[in-house]
Amino acid sequence: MENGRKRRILQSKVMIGRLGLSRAAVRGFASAEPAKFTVQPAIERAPTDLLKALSETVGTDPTAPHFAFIDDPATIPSTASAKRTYFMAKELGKRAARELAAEWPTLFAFDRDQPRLPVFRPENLPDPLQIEPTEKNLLRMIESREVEDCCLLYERMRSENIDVSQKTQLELFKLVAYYNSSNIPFAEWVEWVGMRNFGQNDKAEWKAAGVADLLFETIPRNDETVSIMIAALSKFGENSKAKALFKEHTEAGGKVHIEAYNGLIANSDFKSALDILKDLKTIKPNVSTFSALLESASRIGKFEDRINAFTRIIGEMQALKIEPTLTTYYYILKNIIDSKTQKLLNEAKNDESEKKYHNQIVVSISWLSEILDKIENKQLEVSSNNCNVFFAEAMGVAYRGANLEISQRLLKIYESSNNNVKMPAFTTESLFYNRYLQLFIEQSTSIEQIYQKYKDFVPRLVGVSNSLSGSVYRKLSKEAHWPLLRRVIQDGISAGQMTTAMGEEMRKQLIEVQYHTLSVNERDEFNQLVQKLVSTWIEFSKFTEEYAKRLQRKLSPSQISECALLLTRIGEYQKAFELLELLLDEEASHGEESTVLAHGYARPHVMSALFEDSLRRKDSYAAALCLQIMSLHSNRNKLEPLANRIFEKCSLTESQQKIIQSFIRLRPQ
Amino acid sequence: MHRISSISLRQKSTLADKLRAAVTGSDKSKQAVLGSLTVKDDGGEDFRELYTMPKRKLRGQLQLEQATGRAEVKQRSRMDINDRLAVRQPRSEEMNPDQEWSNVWPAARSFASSVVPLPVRMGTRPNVDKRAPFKKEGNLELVKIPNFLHLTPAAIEKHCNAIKKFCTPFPPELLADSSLQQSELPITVQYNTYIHQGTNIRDIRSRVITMTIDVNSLKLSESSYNKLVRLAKDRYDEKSGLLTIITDRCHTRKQNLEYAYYLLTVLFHESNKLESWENLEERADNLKVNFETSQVRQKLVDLIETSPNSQITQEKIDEFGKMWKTYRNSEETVESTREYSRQIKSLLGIRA
Amino acid sequence: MLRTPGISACRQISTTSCAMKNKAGKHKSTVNRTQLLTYEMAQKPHHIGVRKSWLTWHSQNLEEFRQSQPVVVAQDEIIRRFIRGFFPQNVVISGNELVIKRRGNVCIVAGFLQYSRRLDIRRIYWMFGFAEEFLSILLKQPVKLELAFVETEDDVAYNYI
Repeated sequence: MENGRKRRILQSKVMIGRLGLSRAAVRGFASAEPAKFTVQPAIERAPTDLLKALSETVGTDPTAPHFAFIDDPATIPSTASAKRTYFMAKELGKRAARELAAEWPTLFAFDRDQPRLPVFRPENLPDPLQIEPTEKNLLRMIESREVEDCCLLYERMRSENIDVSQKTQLELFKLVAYYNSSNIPFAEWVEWVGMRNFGQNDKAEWKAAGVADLLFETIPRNDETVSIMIAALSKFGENSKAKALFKEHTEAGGKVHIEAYNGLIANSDFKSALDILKDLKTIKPNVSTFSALLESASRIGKFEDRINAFTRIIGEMQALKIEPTLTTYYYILKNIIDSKTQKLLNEAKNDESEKKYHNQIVVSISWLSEILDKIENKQLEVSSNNCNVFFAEAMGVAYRGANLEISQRLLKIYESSNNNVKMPAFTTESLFYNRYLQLFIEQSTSIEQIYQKYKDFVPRLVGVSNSLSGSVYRKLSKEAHWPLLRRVIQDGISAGQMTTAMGEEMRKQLIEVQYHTLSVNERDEFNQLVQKLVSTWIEFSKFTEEYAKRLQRKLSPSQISECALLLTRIGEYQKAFELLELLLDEEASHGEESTVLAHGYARPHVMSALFEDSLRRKDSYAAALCLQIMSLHSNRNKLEPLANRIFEKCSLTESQQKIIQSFIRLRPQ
Repeated sequence: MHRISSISLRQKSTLADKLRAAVTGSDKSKQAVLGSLTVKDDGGEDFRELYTMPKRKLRGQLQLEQATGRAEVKQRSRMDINDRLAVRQPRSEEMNPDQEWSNVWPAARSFASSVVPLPVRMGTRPNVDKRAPFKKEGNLELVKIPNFLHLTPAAIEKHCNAIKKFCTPFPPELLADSSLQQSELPITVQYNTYIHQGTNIRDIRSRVITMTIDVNSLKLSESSYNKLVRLAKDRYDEKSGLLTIITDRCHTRKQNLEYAYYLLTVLFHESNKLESWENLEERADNLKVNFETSQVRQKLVDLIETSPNSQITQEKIDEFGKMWKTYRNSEETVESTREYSRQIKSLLGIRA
Repeated sequence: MLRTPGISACRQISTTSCAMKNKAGKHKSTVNRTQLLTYEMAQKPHHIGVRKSWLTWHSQNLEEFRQSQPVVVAQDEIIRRFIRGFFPQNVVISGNELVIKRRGNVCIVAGFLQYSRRLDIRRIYWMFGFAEEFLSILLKQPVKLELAFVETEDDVAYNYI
């Protein structure tokens, strides 16, 4: 900007009035002399740049649930299945409301919004059998990817002999071939995120004599249409037809596009794939070609040949200077380890298969670490829908190889700001974090770190599961850590593990807790936890009505004995012995209203612990009760020393001693 | 199946009870148990009891017990047990004291007692010493009030640092010397924007433009200045020298702004034009009383000529003229009158 | 005032004390202190603004901003009735514990719901999704529910009279 010209010098003064904003702009006149002050020109910014900058100041909150859930203690999901259920429930509620509104628009006619917001005015999709059969409508349907509606409309137009231009037909053909004349798969839905995340399509088979075939016959054949058809046929499993079509077209002198080649290569075995590659000649292969090659190479049975093929392919890519994407790495990692070897290992663990497996794991870990070296500080972008699964697969490999360092590198890469490839939240991502957490728990030596990591990940990213809790309990058996134990047990309660085998594990862990090493607060927590657990188990056993029978979990004798021991630990002797009396009560274990399992017996070491404790307190009645319970499953020899101990410790009257002795005498040898 | 609970005593035959029985004597063991009479008569039949009352609590008794609150409530297990177990601990208990609060509460949100880890209480009590104000969980008062947990000083600092890169510095010359603004930037434009809660974002008041111009910067001659003042009437404030134009005639703000500039341009050019009838102006048409053409000046000049000894000089007359002009053209006050008298006396050489 | 037929229709002056007492917002105490009072209910209406705050917050009551005052009042009523009718078992104290706030275009319903006798969390999520979407489409502005859960009504009890 030169000096002599008219200049607009704008300057803002912001004054804030009551809920209003007033701006003052000050303007200068044209002047021949230079301005006495300098105004820096405004920095260019897009409409949402400020918001983006502000949103970058927000990090992650480790205790919060996913933002889709209601943030209340009652509604935060603990397990992966709960997450799925709640998410889908909310979405289905929304769908119900929207369908209602689309069906009865006159009831939702409140019209005071300025500017008009069409998002609050949902409309039903146009019915292909009712709307006018014009090309414009057909094109609009193709735009919105309503494949089956498009097919219906097209067939209707054909039957009514309405002309459809070549261009429209080509567009329709492209759409229909890509989607196999059926609606778009769940993974591509735009509006309903729940179905997109959790919906699973059946493996699609090519629809013979569908609209795709019809259109292929009608429109004139050229390279493009043939390539599209070949690619579509390969995508949906009709390899033979695709090959035949390819042969026919090349013999007739036509050229086929690279996508068709990719399709053919992906579905054939490695040798034929290499043959097809020779055909390429002038057409340049792209990344998808190499991914297809890898796919075909993964079908090679023998491990060494497979690795060789992978190495060759990667070498070729480097020679051609094509950058491998995450999809290529995914195919490699997925297929290094033999599935057959894995099965053998699971079935019969012999040295032969173990060594083989071990070898394969080592190879895959080395490949993985090389891959990580390559992608470490690079900007990662999405190139196909398998890119994000790379992370989950890589974490799986790290888990199997028990390599914590690699997993941490991988996590860092995933969470860095360079990475734009993200996994869908509740399915793949939770698998990724689950594997990482399991690996961390198994490999880490510091239990405090395990505690921190556990708190960070559960339940926000990883749902509580039996295997996860199991591995934590194993670590806790070696080294005690009360806060972690408490947290895992609480998570187990929320996840509904109390009625499973994990319940037993919880009891075992609680019994092993050294009560005297806990601080006052921790003792309180311990007491509360034990009370809650015991009362819940009792409540579960009390579902005796007919309609509630499926919920009932009867108390087993071992369960009763362990709960009684825990109750005595916290000082609730009365309750403990009431509970133990259930073992002796015939009515409690038989009949319609039974709450105790008829078979099974109290654990011996638990009973002896209870016995010792009651002796310590010099409570003869309690000791007698323990004696009676122990007598159910042992003979006179074992009982006599116990009785003698009672006589020593507690002061009993003559008659009482006689009762006990007569009781023992009645027992079998 | 009738349950005999309060009328009969189910005899427990555990070892512990036997021990107890041995200690407390034999009262308990001697208690008769109904229904245990299994004496058979000659025909081999059981004793048939006489039916007087059913062996259960009658309805009247149950109602009495319920009314007085002594009923034995059978604890039924509730069917929603699994959902009740799924309730987690409030997540404020798991929060790290070193965490970033702006990550937990990034935007405005109603108070959630399970998320805020502070032990707050809110509400009056008749006697605060006896009973503390209402607790955090379930407190509607805390939910009602707008909270500013998303605008802690640390959060504001973060926001400012994030936005700084879009800001340019204020011209330092203007900051240093405030008078520059008056000289360099004579025009000021003001307009308002209104924000509403609700579905409608329009407000008709936002089209109004207020433009203030410093007339001195227009550098008008005497006559065009007068013409401008006449044309602008009460839009011109003489004390501050500002011409204010308020436009709301058009529908949009942009149109009103352009109209305001248009009015300014027209005013300027019109005041510079000289119409033919303007030279018919007489002394009586002036906006302010003029000293140059007044009789007072004439008389004073005559005085100079008639009395040659007087100290009246041209400069003194001019000085007197200034004072006279302000006196004549502003509201008369006691001080201005005194000033007048002082000046005229000093001019004419009258003492006291 | 007794009006027997036959008495001439002359003006009659009421000589009894005022029988039409103002009962709004006031609760009678019971014999054995079973009437639960929330903090809301315990404060008399003349304490609004002093000891208890407002249940709806919007700017349409201000002098210069009364663009759509009656519309907003009607919207509030619609929202309250809908929530009360849609969550019948979960509402606390017949739906009085709801606060409606407005932030720009968005209408936020905060407050408390109780676990009913049969808490079903999936059902709650479904109802939340439906209610939010339904109210948004009805009022043509985003409506968000920020309701928190309380175990029983006793958790919001301030006092028993």
